[in-house]
Amino acid sequence: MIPENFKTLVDKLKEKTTKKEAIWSKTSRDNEFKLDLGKGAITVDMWQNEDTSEQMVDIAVINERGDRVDSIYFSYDEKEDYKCLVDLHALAKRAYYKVDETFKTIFKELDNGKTIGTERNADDLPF
Amino acid sequence: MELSKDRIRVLLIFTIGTLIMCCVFYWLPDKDKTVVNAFTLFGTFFSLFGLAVAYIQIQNIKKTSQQTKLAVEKSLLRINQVLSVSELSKANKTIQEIQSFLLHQKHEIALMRMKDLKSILIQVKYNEDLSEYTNNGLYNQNITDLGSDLNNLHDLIIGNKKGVNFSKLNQNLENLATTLTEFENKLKYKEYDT
Repeated sequence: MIPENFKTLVDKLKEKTTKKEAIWSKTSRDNEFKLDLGKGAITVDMWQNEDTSEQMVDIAVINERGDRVDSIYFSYDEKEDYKCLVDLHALAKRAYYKVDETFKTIFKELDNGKTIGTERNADDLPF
Repeated sequence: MELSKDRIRVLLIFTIGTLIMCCVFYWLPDKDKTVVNAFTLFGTFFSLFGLAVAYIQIQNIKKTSQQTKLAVEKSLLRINQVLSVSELSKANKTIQEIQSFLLHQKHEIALMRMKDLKSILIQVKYNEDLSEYTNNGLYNQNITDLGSDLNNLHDLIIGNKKGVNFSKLNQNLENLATTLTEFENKLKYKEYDT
């Protein structure tokens, strides 16, 4: 069961990220995202447990001295709590890769009535 | 020999005072122009002159003492800054060592050196000379980045999580090295009143 303080934290982070008011960055792990705060940071990671092959998700709080002060993780079996964190992870990932902004730009380009795409060098053609 | 301001002042007081005393003695009625009165008059003047000299000397000592205190404070500040520069150089050297250990996959030693580096970063954070640079989001971001990298490397070593992106880790260390080099130069080339 997800502790109450983490539940509140996750809800607030989801709200901020949905409103595009949170700037997420990437860490040295392939699927981990980090939100820098004035005094500390929050990381959200998703990985596969090597022993059980289970999909895992975690959230960690880092203080201003760079120490991981608290963290929780859930496996795929803990459906409700796992989903709660996975949703946050997905939102952080979308925010980091600017998925919505990219779609918006693509739609704008598609709707403007002009020819889209860029002419490549003729030498690139195989014939 | 060049006379100091205080010496000129003392000489002026002595000359003007002696002239005044001579005039006072000269304008005395003839019956009062005795040796005893002359001693009384000049004795009073010399006593007052002595007090004035003592006052000027005390002021002089006070000024010298304040100047010495200021010079000592400046020297201490400079020594602290030299020590800070040395700490920052040490941190940059540590970063190079960590990068080398990571390149040779000596993760355990790299982890130990990263912990040393984190201590130095926290120490630098409380350096008053650098507070205007360290009290911002970027420096805190560097510390939390290092903390996060440290945790990730730790998890990798104990087999908890796999998949550390060493290129990103190296990039974070490079960013940190740039920040620390900037701090070092800011301290080195800061101007001081001598």
